[in-house]
Amino acid sequence: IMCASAKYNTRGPALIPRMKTKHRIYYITLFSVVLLGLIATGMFQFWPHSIESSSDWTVEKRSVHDVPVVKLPADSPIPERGDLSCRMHTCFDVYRCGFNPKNKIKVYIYSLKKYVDEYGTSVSNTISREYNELLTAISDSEFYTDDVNRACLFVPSVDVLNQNTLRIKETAQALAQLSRWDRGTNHLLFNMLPGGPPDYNTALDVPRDRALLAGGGFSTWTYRQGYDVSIPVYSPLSGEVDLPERGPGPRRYFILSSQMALHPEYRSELEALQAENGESVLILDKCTNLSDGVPAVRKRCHKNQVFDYPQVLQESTFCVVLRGARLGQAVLSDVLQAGCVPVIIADSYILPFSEVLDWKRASVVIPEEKMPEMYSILQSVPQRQIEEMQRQARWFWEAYFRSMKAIALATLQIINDRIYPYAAISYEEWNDPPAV
Amino acid sequence: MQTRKKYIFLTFLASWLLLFFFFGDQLRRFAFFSGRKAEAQRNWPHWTDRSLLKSFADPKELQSDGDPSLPSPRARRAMRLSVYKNSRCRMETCFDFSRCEKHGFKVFTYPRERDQPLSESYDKILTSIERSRYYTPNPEEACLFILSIDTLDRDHLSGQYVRNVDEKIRSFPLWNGGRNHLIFNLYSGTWPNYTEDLGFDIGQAILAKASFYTESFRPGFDISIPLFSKDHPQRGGERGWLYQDSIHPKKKYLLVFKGKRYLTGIGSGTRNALHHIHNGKDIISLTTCKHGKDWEKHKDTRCDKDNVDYEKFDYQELLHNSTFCIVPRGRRLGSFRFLEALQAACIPVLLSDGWELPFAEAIDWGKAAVVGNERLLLQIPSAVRCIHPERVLAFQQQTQFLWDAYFSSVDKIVHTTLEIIKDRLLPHRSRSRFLWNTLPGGLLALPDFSTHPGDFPFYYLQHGSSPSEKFTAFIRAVSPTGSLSQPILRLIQAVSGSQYCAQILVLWSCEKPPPPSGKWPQTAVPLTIIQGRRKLSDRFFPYAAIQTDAVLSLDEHSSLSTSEVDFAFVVWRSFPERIVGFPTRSHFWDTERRRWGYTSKWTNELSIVLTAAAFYHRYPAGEGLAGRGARPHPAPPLCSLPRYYHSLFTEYLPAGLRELVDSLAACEDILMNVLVAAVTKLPPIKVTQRKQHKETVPQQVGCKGGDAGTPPTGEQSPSPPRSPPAKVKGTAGAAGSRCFSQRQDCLNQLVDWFGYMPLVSSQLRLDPVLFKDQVSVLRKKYPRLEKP
Repeated sequence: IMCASAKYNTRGPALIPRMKTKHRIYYITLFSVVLLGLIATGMFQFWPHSIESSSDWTVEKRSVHDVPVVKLPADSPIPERGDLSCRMHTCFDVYRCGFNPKNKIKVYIYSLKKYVDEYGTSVSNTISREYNELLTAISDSEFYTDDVNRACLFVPSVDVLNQNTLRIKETAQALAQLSRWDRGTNHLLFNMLPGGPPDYNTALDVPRDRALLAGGGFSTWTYRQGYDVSIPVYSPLSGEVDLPERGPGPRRYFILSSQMALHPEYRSELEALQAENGESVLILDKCTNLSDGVPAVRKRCHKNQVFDYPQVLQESTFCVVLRGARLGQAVLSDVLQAGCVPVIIADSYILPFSEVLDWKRASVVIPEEKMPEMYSILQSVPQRQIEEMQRQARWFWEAYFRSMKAIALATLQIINDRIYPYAAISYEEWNDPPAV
Repeated sequence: MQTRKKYIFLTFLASWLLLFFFFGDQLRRFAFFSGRKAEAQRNWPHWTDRSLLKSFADPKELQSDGDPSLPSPRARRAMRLSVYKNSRCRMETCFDFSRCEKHGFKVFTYPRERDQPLSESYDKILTSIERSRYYTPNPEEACLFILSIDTLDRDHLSGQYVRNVDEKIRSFPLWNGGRNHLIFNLYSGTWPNYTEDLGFDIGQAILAKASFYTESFRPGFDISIPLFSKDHPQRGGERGWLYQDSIHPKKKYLLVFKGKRYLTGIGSGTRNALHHIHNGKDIISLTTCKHGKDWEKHKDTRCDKDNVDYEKFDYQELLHNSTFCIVPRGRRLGSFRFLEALQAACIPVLLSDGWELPFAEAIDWGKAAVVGNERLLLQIPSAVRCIHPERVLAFQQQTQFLWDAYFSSVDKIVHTTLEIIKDRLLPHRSRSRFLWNTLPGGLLALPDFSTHPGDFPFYYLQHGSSPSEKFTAFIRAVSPTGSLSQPILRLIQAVSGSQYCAQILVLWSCEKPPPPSGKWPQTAVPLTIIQGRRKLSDRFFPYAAIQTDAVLSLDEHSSLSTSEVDFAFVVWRSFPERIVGFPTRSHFWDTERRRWGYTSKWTNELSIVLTAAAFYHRYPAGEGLAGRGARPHPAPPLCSLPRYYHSLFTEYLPAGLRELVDSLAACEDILMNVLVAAVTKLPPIKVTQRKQHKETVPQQVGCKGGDAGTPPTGEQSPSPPRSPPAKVKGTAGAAGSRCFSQRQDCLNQLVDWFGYMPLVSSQLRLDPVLFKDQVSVLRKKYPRLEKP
């Protein structure tokens, strides 16, 4: 601009003919200042980066502890129990979603509240780290809208990831008083650890009426096919440990079991396998004699040998994922991360994202009753297929298990695909690893 | 203006600008940009203490998810058996897997009763099962049972409704509460509700039903089948309507429907609304009120106009000329429109909420149909308009593949049903969705062979892999003398000289034991002799012995040079799913005798390559040689067994079929060609052969070699004569002409079995690039091919 003004200066007489040089300099400076101001304003208004940074300013810098407290009266309504016959065409209101050229559903997130009962005791942890990550991911995605009137799907900020950390009746009451609850229509709940002692139900016990449930650990009897979404149980180790991808190929062990607190019956069956097949089978358990300060969750032991977890998973071709009290196990995520082919032994378990993922390409599913034959079954898998499964397992982890963000977006995409089936992501896009 | 004033003014301006720079955003928020501010999204807050938040579960809790107080797994499994019954049946609770362990997957059909008339469709279903390789007449060894009571039509207003099914079923000693039974049904319920009720208690039986409603569907247990008419062909079936030359995906009409409209009752909502999208130009949606006897009683104001419009268009014409076809629900969820549209390559637009799509357990319908929503009918036109032409073409191609692979005949529908159930028995040896949804489809890609797509010859391109770079030569030695003949020694030398040869297998099918290892020629590659007789019972033997993808099948009398073998193998690597070989035959339609003819004359076409000297993928080889385990579906159990195998198997077969076996004994190479052509829908490939030196025809001309000498006009193709294996000695001495007609009979019987003629003719022969060109022999890669 300085250059330009200098130029104008020389050509001055033609532009501003009858003015003294002094005045001319003054006006030209004034003019350039105004011009600069205009440009700056324009930058503020239209530069995309500036909008982003400005939205940063709008985000409230608050603590979770400052959120408004909502008191739930003891007699506030409780939603009905989940309806097992719900399907998209019966319990979901598609009219809210509308036709749009992008074929994307709009997702609204309720603002965070802290719910307390009449006596002021809190109903649950306000929000867990993972649920906060999940909501942040939705909020940053292109599905998000802050306009409750345009939304097609509602995500409550009530954290129900782990049923053990909440009070069932009060949580249900908290859900029922959400502003657009309407019997839970078009509401999506995320739950990873359902059920509790003594019977460990396979779906969240919180009454939720028509709400969709993205649940970890569904069984074929509680999963409403085409309505619910089966999600993995997130393993926080995914974020902590960096396991570099290991090329496919033979590993030191053939079968590895790394789970702790297995039912003794399962453990004895595994030990029988080990006795039969020797070195190639490794059955690990928790360590009993660890020195203080070593986190027990990162170590596994076999007799007196100590192994690092989850690194040891990379040493095996197949890794057993047995059901525990629940069907969904966080170890599945660790196993996939290690590029170990999961051997899933959990009858009636609905595998994560089974609506779109072809698990036959990444895992071996063995009925519980066939456990004694596990070794011969796995031996019959051709080597080339094992290598492909190893690659596929790792790819599943990277794309769909890695973070709460990956889990959230895959879940929303599945629901999106149901509402706009003609724009749905194809089998190949879901399952084929990106070409190297 | 004074200079000072001016500079003050200037400073003021500058500071204003600075102010704007630093507090512009706040200004924007409070002052004149308030309109924009409302649009700025309020995202989920970034909590200041988000890193301090607690994890949703304690790591220990996540990793040791057990509760010692829980019942043991065994007790839990026993418990669930009693809980999850009837409407909550799943394979693990209502199906007895132990029945399938000993004899494999065998299906038994109850004997048909004379006094029980069967509907045409049910008769076809039963016939399909009896034709299947899983059929067993012995209930003891059966894994799955199928009733002889016609349960297809359970509308009690229908003439084919069978009464007192409950009583009849209970009288069957095998019924066992319906365990391991499969019940077929096309129509359930009746006016006005058309419920899913079958009118009898199916107990724990698997239900294969058309128009399945998702709510009553027991996932992983029941099977949804398509609604087919009673005219649906038993086998073979018509081709799809999309041909290679009709490439342009956009047709005259975009979206069509022509059908009945119900004035009242269930399903009327959807069909009554269809006229809204009719625009008379590219969207044709026609309904008629003429339905049932008393339609005029309910008729509304639109009826007369609609009925007139309805007559203006021809349904077949619309079907042929439309890109998309609406398939709305009828009274029940499925309709005949579905299969019609699929065959016509008219992409089905489904308006049938809650319909569990046919074979959805295996088939990915998102690739072949647009699943619409009854409630969003008015969005359908814009939704289908937005689909890109490339995707339209992909949709159309997929409809054709699915139609041809799973729906074009009753056989295919029934066999798909059986295969889906079979896949559930051994989840680790079942087809992935990829195999089901890619050519040639799940019925032909057998998981018994492999579950890895890279092992099949069809997927190399998609899979980005290539067939192995070596081949296995498989020589059948049948010389009755028990010693090594000259031709076989020469053959072994020639084949082992090939740089691509990995191993040579000699199948010694003679009465006498093979010569000691010292007598065999020294070769660079391992030479294995398999004693045919002894190994017969081991049906997996070809898998273990044949390590390579390619198999070079040879007869003892084949005469080939090393360069011929090399070149043929190079060609095969480009076409791994086809048979590549030297001597050829062809088929033709004999108009006078109204049957298929088989000829060895030197014609300009070929459709069969003799397996006396041919390369093929071990997948079909596995089928041909290993017999039972790896045969593709359409093959009759008897035919695909090579002769040396069949005596073992005759005992498994019903007596009535034995005659057929015997008559087919001489045509295993025709069978192989028919099989491969049925799978690939492509002709075999002939490669250049060095000019044949005349060879004396051996004394014993069996059926194999027999055809070489049979045509009266006598122009023989240059096929090396073959002698029969020892097993069929009975026909060995037979006259050539008898054998020739036997081969012709065999071809006709195979066509009859398949329901159509799978062989495809070709006019192609592949030569090396410089073959017979006027250049120096030194520049040619295969100079020996041209040596006289």
